[in-house]
Amino acid sequence: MPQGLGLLTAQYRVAKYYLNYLRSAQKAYLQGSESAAYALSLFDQEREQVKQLQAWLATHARQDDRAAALCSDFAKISPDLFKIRLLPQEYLSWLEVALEAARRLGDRRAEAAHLLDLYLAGGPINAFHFVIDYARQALSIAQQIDDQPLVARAIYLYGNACHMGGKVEQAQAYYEQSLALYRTIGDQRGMAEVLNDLGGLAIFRRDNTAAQSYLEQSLALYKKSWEAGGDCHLLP
Amino acid sequence: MPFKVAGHDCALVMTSRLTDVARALAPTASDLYRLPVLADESALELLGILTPATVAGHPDEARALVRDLEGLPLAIQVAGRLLQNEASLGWGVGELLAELREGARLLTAQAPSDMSGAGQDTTPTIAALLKRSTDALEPETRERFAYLGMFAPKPAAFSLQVMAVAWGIDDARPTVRILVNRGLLEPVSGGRFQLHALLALHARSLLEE
Repeated sequence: MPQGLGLLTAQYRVAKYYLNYLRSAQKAYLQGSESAAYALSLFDQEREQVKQLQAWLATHARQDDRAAALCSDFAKISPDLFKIRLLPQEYLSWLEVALEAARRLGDRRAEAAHLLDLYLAGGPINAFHFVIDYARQALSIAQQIDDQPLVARAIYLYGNACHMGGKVEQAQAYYEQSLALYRTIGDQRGMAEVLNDLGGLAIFRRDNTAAQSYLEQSLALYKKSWEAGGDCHLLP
Repeated sequence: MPFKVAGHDCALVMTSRLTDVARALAPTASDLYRLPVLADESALELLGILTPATVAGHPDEARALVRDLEGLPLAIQVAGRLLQNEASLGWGVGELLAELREGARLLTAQAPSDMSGAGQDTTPTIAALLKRSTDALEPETRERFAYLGMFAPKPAAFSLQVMAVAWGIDDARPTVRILVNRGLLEPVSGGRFQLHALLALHARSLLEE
């Protein structure tokens, strides 16, 4: 019966198929409204197969570079759907395995990206001092490899961690630094996200004029980004 | 509340192989219905639909076969299709019955740790039937059936497209047609196909052979 290379090759073909499937589902989700509902139905239809495949990749990632690379890709391919449809602990375990795989492969960019996702996914269920370390490590790696979009995102999320930890002034400084970097790169969606959080900080300071200005800028950028074929986002 | 999905005059039916789950879900004991396997007459009727000439020509042996298969609809479906497919070769119910009894005897003789796949979850006769049914496939088709064992077993449902990917071919339809005709794969809604849990275990056991 089909053992060895034939079966292994088939597993890899199936893994790549589901990676593309999840990529399409994530893209549909980001288009919002009916496309988002369609994306969720796509995920639900293959949920058990996706889980089975992730478990297979996780098992093989320690001995096989190809499985490790797919395992690392798998965890970041459909973050919004994973957050909605997987149990938080389940998604965290996928990210932890992906982080280990990225480290094993020496893929520092993926390592930083997984750390940022671990920060985002771990926030609601883990201790703050624990998750802030993910953001700190990600920022350090992003700076070392000088990946500007990743640095902008890591600074933004580190600012977010300060915000959650009540360090409002630090958060404001990091947000502004991230905003400047996103502006330099020309990432409108990133700018919109940071301006949205700056608006939140201004509301916290009861500075309604500043809050309105930040949120209006954020909304305008989200609309522009969406009209240009980007994804949508809900403002608070 | 999550189960209140319908309106007036609608009912919700939930199925489970686990009695504890059924008890937990049913509001009262009278809401529980234990679905039995098919009675001999119904089982024979099903076999007769699948392979009318065999049942008409060998009624006593057909009755013995459905008894050996303990009225399990999946097993009757697989046996019926097997008999119908191979009737043209002059291979009849008597031979199948003898083979299954011999296969079951061999499986029973194995140590429990040697029994894999469906053999652990069902009777030796049914495990022997599943094995006999896949042994009758062309080697390439049998290998493709075995590959379906790589998918999640509950529910083992997948698209035509992913089967083609798993098998490394452009068009999965000819193989799927054979497997459906043999009762080894079942079409479900939305152009998808499903493998019964016992067959999924059997496919997995073929991968591990």
